[in-house]
Order: sequence, then structure tokens, then C-alpha cells
Amino acid sequence: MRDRAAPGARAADLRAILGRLEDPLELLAEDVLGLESRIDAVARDRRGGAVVVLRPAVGAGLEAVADALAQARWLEPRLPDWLKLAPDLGLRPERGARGLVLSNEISPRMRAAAAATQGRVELQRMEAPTAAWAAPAASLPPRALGPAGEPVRLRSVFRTALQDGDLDLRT
Amino acid sequence: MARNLEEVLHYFLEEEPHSPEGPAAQRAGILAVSVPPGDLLRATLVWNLAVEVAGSGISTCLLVPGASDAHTLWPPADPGDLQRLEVAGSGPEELGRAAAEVAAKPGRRPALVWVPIPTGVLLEAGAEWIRWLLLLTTPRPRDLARSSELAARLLTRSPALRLGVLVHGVARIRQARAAFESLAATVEARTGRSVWSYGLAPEGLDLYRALAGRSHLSGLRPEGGAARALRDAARWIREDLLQGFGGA
Repeated sequence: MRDRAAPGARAADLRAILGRLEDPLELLAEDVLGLESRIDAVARDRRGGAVVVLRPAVGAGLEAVADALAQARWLEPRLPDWLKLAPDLGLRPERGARGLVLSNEISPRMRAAAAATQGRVELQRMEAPTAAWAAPAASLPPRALGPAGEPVRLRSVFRTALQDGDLDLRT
Repeated sequence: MARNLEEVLHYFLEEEPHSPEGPAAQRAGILAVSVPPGDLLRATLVWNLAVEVAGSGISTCLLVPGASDAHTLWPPADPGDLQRLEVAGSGPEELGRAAAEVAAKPGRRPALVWVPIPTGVLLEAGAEWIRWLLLLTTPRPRDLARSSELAARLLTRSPALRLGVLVHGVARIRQARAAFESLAATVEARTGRSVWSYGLAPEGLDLYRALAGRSHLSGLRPEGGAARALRDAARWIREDLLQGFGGA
């Protein structure tokens, strides 16, 4: 579970946060579809390495360390494709991808888990969340409701012959 | 003997009773598709859809608006069964005129003319010729809100419009369904009209590979989710064409 906020506000907020880090990062893309979930942001470090940035909700920091590791591993083989699509991003695929977890709370278990990744995942403590970060936003569009709060019966019908397993997003 | 679908299309399409060219002069379908300027991803989706339809036996022509980025936006080569025609301008009137000319061309005319049209000009004067439109939207809130507003305004303006929606950039079926139903609820509440679903296109590596390699999704991995989704969309487009939608 991550914090969600209006995309524009989040991007501006995150860009500023990443730019102020000791090793500043440049925000490349926000809300990227990663391995079975969305990545809050993908950034680039000064050496051209890609950085998966996660901003977990309170209490989800340990899970985010594992997720950052998984998403970085997922992203790495895709970097050459990204570079072909957008050569100006300044990515250097040979530098690989790592994870960065931005969190208000960093627990001893998070530290131990991050240390076990041998530098593949780093932790960065943040100050109290800004309003932009704290504002929730649903990942699915809201269901249309009638005057009495009942689901609206639509005449338009969504069509697909596929199931989730067919989408095959991991290959 | 097996016959090409194009050869029997006139059995399904309404024919003009007094056409100077006789019964074979059935009208081609014109399908407008929203493609914002410079949107490589949507151009790739549209091109792939056109290739799928062409590959199913429907003679197909893709009009390419003559924008400055046309050569980087569209793949450099089309499969043999897809014709391409570059149009000098990208205004709604120019595109409509070019589409009508291709659709009415004597002799070997295409059965379906695809007209990628910049999203920003869909509501402008001169775009009233559009009777069949495919709107490509993502489930992202801002994009969905823009698409819903555009769909409602287009249907208010054009009583004869058949408006199709394809949701792309999705990770889950329910995400695509929710996006479609959100748009449909807005449109139905404001206009009392329905929209037609042409399914979804998943976001994934296949699409990026097709985009990077300027290649056809079905050629890359025919059984992949993206290729199958586009084949479904192409089938529904073909069925609508056979019912006479988009007739000039």
C-alpha cells in the first residue's frame, strides 16, 4: 500500500525531494507499471543508473524494501528498450537498476533487510509527508452511483475475451 | 474455393440504389481514431490495429496526417495488405476530404479507411463528417476525465456518431473495465447515448518492443496478451464495418 496523491502535485513534490538528496536523482517517469504493481517513480542517478523509487505508506516499509528489490530486478533488462525509446533520458543500462525507499519511519528490520541486498536497495528518511503525498487517490476510477447510492446500470458494455493471466505483463 | 472477405463484403453492406457503378459500388467505411500529436504509443497501437484488420482480409488504407513528425511517428513500412496514404495537412476538413476521396475512389477502393486525427481538433468545425470514432484512453484519472468530456461533447454534437473506446495502458482487466464504465457512465448520464467497447491493450514489454522496433505485435509474439487484445479489437471493428458503420 502506497500513498497516493494528485499526479501533478506528486511529481513536483517528488522531483524536489529527489533533487535534494545527497546523491541527487532526476525524475524520469512517475507511476510506472512495474512487476504486478505500480512503481511510484523511476529516476536516474548522476552516473546513468536507473533507480526505482518507492514511497510506502506508514507500516509498509519492510514490504517496500522487498518490492524495490523485485522492481529493480524487473526493470534492469528493460533498460535497453527504454534507451531505444528515449535516448535523451541519459540512462546507461550497463549501470543497472537499484531501489530507493523513501520513508518517514525506518525500522531496524528495514535497515537489516536493505543491508542484505548489498546496495541494491537504499533507504532514505523523509520528513513528515506533505499534503500532496498524504492525499489519497484510488487506483481504479470510482464506480458510478445513482441518486440512492446504488450502482448505475449501464447500457454500454465492456468487452474483452481475455483474463488477467492472458495479459502476460511480466514477459 | 475460399474467397477473400473483401470480395463478399458487398453482400453485407448497404448499397446505393442508383450508384453509377452498380452493385459493386458499396461504400467504404471511414474510421477516425484519436491520436494526439506526437503520441508514439497511440500511433503504434493504431498502426497495429490497422495491420490486424488488413490481415483479416479487409482491404485497408491508413491515412497519415502530414505533420512534421509523421515520419518518426508512424512505422516506416507497412505489410503488403495495408495501404498508406499521406495527407498534406492534419486539419479536420483536409482529413475528411482525403478520406472521402479514398473511400469513393473508382476501381479498387479500400473497404476501410483509417483516419488518425489529432484529438484536439475533434470538436472543431470541419470534423462533423466523423460518423465512427475510436477513442483511445488510459485509465489514468486525468486522461479518463478528458476522454469522458470529449466523448460526451462529441455525442452531443453528432447524433449519428458511433463512438468506440479502447482502454490502453492497463495492468488488469478490472482496471480496463472500471475505466470504460466510468467513461460510459459520464456519457450516458449527459447524453443518454451508449459507447461501444473495443476492449483493451495491456501495457507491457511487447508493446514497447513493437514501438522500439517499429514492428507488428502479432509478428513479435502472436500469442502474447497485447497481440491477442488487438486481434479482438480488430475483430470487433471488422464486425462493425460489416454492419455498415462508418459508411461515407
